[in-house]
Amino acid sequence: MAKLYDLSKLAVLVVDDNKFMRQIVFQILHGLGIRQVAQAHNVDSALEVMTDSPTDFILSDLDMGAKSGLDLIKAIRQSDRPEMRMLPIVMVTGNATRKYVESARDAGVTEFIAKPLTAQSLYVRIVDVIERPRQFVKTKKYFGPDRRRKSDDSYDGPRRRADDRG
Amino acid sequence: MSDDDKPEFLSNPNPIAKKARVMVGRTADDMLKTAEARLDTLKGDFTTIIKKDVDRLAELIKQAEVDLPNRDAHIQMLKKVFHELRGQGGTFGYPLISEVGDSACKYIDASPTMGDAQVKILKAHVDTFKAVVAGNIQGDGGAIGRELMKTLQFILARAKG
Repeated sequence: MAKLYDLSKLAVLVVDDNKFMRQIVFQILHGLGIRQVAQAHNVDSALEVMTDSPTDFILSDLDMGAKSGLDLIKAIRQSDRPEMRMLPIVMVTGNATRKYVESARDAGVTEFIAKPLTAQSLYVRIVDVIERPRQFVKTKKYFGPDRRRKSDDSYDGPRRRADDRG
Repeated sequence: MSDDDKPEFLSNPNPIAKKARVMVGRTADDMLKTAEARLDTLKGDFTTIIKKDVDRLAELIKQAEVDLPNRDAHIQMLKKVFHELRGQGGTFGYPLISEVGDSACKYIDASPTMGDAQVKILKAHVDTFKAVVAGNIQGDGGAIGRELMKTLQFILARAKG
């Protein structure tokens, strides 16, 4: 049984070019008690919404035509606004092939959620974001959450992560 | 690794953890039921959408058959419709619709060229989708659902040789 979170203070941005899919996500989020749900039908519109309204995390489709969810992730991670750069981005995908997963991971996605969406699957993902934040990594080529999710006991290379130094 | 490439690690401010409050001693069960109930209110809309999609897919496959100069564009639109269906079918208790959509999208992705033979295979997907919608086949579809998928898989296997 999942523990209960009061999510009523969160502001979520839903990005999907399919209106019905946005409605699906909107209904689930409202059912989970989230009242501030903004919607955008493409990447440009999403970036505008984020400029105008507070956003705590983003749920975005991957495949949206000319500009994809990957472009959105890159725009956010390269933003000049620090609070925007570190926003959690959950990618909703019906096509979780290795290639897509790796591209999204390398662009700086926080989490994935596979379709078909259910209230349970979406809630579990939100709780993951709340309870298991990953530190951010900044290199010349990458800015985003640490892409190494698990600690590897057999790893004997240099230990550079902040949580390695505890 | 040069000093220039040295990664910098930044702690995650995780602002949503500060806004989300755990309700000690309570489970999420009732809230999840409420969310599922809200989702169910869209089921009627989904039924309307899939009926429209039957006509849309039939039109697109017909165009792909006859409008050769624009075949690729028609197939890409067909893929977009199947892609949405595969994502939404399972949400509303039509996993067969998701299965057919998934099979069509994967077939398109795996086909470097789109000749008449490939279009025929996609037409078989459209026909299967039509049958699922016409029969209002929900859940796993029972014997009819299994038969429909078996036929589609047979057609795909035969095409592979």
